[in-house]
Amino acid sequence: MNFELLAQLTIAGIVLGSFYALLGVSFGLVYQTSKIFHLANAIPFAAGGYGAVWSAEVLHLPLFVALAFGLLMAVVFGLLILFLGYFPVMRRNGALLSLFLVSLGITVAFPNLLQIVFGTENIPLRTYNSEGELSSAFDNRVFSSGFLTITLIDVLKIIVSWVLIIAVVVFVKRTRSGRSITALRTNPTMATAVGIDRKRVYILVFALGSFLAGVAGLFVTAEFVASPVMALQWTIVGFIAVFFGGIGSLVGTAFGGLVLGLLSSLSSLYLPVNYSPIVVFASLFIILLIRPQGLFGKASV
Amino acid sequence: MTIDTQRNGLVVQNLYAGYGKRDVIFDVNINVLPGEIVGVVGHNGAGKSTLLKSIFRSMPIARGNINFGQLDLTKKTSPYVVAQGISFTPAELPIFRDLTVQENLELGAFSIKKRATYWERLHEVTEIFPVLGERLKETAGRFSGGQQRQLSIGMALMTNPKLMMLDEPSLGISPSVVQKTFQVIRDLAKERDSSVLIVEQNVKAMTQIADRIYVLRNGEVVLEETREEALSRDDWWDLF
Repeated sequence: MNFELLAQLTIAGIVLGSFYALLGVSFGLVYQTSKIFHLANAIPFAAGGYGAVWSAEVLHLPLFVALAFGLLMAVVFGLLILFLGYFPVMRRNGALLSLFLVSLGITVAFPNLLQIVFGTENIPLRTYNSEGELSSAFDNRVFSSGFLTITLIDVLKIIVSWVLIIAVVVFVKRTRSGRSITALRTNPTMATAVGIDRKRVYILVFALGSFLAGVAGLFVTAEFVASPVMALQWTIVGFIAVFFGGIGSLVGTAFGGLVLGLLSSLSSLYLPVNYSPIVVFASLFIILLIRPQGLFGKASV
Repeated sequence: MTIDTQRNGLVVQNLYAGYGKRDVIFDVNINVLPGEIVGVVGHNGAGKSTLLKSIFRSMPIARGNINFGQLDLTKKTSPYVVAQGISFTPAELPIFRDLTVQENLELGAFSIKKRATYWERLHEVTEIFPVLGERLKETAGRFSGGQQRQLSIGMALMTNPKLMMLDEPSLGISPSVVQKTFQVIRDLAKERDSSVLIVEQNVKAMTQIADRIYVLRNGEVVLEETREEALSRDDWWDLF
């Protein structure tokens, strides 16, 4: 066993798993509460990245303001999908299949819209420097210790992802608004019976979920580039984390994402790197066979 | 009959409601006076639950009017109805099974913003149902059917409702527990001068508690009787 490689892959797995956990909680918040298979979570993801890139280049915003603008765009686009896409369908019949088809349509159309507005090329995150020139916004430094290396973005991915996940879990558990999410998630009929406004809760979870998706989009844009097709593969990973970790629990989803990331990374010890997506899907398939409620989910009604 | 909405508690007039374009209840007229316990009985599919959900405004109505005191609830939503002092306890899964008893009671008091009021009500409810007080931290799903029913009524009481609407509260619990539960409901209603509207298939249990009974058949009210009239009947089955 090559322990140096094992340690490096474990770190890579934690980075990847933390990112999966963030995406899983983003998708899980919406899915567990509304039961909408919100594939269009890809849109706030992309809106976060493009919002930051556009505001930095066109509005000349400094880095942190541009990132905040990206997050704002993520939430705005997430809520636009809810108000213009899902609510009208809910008012008509509310069938989950209809809502999924709306989501699918938006997800397919949005990259084309991005291409029309921003062009087909990939766009890096750049800001204006003191000389008034556009330059790379982010210096992704590499930290080394012995045989281990990790980049600044990777460190931020771990810290930011878990801070946000813990904040969301505490919010859901400890606050009145958070309890309304739990109520709607676990028993929608009773949630209505105790006077919870379903529409308000949907707005809350879509705003929160879109914010988290926007953070994920910013990470990808800062590390690589913003591109019209940047979001879909990551969104799919998000819902795999939900079903892998446990449908009924945000904590389960988060740890499911972490385990999934570690499995994906550590599989490189024995398999070529390009097998890792297969490992991810195979793991989900096995879990669905032996523990349909997910790795950390409870078998309940 | 002219109905005085100032004096009356709940007044439902000419109500039509259903699912999609298909009405399930037709031209329903019922009322519940302050302090009165009113039962609605009928066979499966008669439209009893639809009637309660329509009054609670958790499903759309096609035509008709719903008034509570001076308030017109016809175009309102459930959160508004709860805020006006009306509680609704559904027939199935009337609690949050995965949450603790205390979390359930907290959610029962969701419409109450003052924390002090919540603690006051929690104290009252645990005095009425001591088992809830003894097992506040336990997961509610572990409770027996009867205890879950008590919890559901406790959740409704957290808002100190002026009108409690209960959908088949005898469902899934033994006859002795039904009797005790109904006695508690009756005592509470009389003590607090609050109204109760109960939907039931268990006619015998209903005659023990209700002051007045409506019979619903195929979505229409076919009979209204006082408790005494209902108790003097030899056979109920011909009404269904």
